[in-house]
Formats: sequence, structure tokens, C-alpha cells
Amino acid sequence: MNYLFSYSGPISFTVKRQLLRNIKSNTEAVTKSVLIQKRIRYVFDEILSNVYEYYIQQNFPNETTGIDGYLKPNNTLEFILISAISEADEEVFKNYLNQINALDEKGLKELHKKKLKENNAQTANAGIGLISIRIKTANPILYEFKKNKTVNSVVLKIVLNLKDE
Amino acid sequence: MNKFILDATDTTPRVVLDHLENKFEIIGEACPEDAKLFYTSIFTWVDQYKNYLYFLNNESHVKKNLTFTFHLNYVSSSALKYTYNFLQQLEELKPLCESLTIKWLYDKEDTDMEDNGKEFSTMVNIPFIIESAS
Repeated sequence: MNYLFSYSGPISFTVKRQLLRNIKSNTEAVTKSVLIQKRIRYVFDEILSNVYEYYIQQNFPNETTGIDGYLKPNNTLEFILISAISEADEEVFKNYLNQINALDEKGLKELHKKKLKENNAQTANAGIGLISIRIKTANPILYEFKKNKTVNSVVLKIVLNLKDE
Repeated sequence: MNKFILDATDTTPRVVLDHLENKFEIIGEACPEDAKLFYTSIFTWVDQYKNYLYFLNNESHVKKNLTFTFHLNYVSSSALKYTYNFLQQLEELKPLCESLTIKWLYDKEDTDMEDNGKEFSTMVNIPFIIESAS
């Protein structure tokens, strides 16, 4: 595997800040395209920030999160996120991912605008980030839910094309 | 009222809200750890500025031409939402000034930031000038 980054462990404020700093400097080694560099950073930043906020909300401070990014021979970067999720949130999250995966670019942009206009910044933010990821990657966000003895988890796979448009 | 100036950090933009020089700019990266906290002080300043413009209108019948320049090279989703709220707040200044324009600059190649500007231009009733910074 040609890893660009790999992290497994709890996500504290300090860890999050350090990982975001690392990814910012790593992207220049992957592509000269400023647009793609920013997109790599954006995807990483959004999924990490969403997990961080969600863990605070759910009081999951010690749960492990895995986030890997590896370069594929077909000039794509695959992000794999493994994150804890409460059983009660699985259905809502699944429905939301299905909704945004089913939309074309026009539909995603309309939903993005609608989310920006929503008053509740806290609930809207996670939604905006995932919609933006769908728009920037032009690929569906693949997911899988896993159950184990202590906590359920969700695995997200996000594929970003590294070729500039 | 005082002018409002914040230096840029690696996660927050430089903010210049200087009513004395008639210079209003937000330049840099917008991904603050606490977006609400960061933007609250900006919103407070704009509220004060709105009152100041109202006073100018009534007392001296002066109406200003205002241009707010945004040159953001990275925006997180939470900062994007607050940027929209900021633009909504600026829209409230419109009746109090001669003209109000948003100058939205983006780095060359950064079509995502250009798209953000285009999207915002359809969401608030303020004229936008959207152009590449280089």
C-alpha cells in the first residue's frame, strides 16, 4: 500500500490539530495542483472534524478512530475512515448518505445551499461537509456499518480523483 | 466605535474592518477551531457599524460606498456557514449606504472557491465581483 497518511487512536483536540497540520504539508508531495491539494485537505479536515464533534456530543472521548489515505495506481486517493457510531444514529446517517449519494451535481448544489440557510449551525455543519465532499470528489461516499461487543462503528470510503479538471 | 483588526493565523484569516479608512477585508485561511467564537466578534462589530451608519445618515446625511473584499484560500464547512451569516448581516447595511459590493477573490486554479463566490452571489441581495486574484 502506498500510504499518504495513517492514524489510529482517540481524537483529542491536540491530535486533530496535529493531524491537520501534517496533512497540509503532505499534500504538496502528492500533486502540484493547488485545487487538488486543497481538496485532499478539505476531505481530511471535514471527516476528522465531524468525528471530533460527534465524539464530544456522544461522550466517546476514548473511542478509537482510524483514518487512512492511500494512493491508488489509477491516480486516485482513497480515504478510509473507521469511526464509532451509536446504534440510534445508524439509520439516520445511512439515510442521509443514501440521499446525497443519489443526487447529481445540480441536486447536491441545491441541497448545499439549503443547508447553508439552515439556522442550526451545529446540525447543518456535518451535512454541509459531506455534501461538499460529494461535490468535490464527484464520487459516492461508500459506507458499511459494523457491530462489535462494545461499540458499533461505521466505515466510510471516499475516493478523490487526483487528476486536475 | 473602534476599527477591528485581527492578524492572520494558520487557521484564521486576517480581518480588517476599518470604517475610518473605508477598508474592509477578510484574507487568508478560514478554518477556526471554534468558528462560532471567531465570527461572533465580527458580527458584533458589524452591528455597531450598522448603528454608526444609521447615525451618519441621520445626522449628516452621508451615505458611503462600501466594498467588502473576501480573499479566502481555504474555508472549512463551519466557516463557510458563518461566512454566509456574515454576508446576510452585510445585506442589512444596504439601505444605509450609497452602494455595497462584495469583491470575492479566489486563487488562480481554485475553482471551488470561485464556486463558493458564485453560490453566495445567488443567496444574498448584494452585487458580487468575482475574480481570480492573480
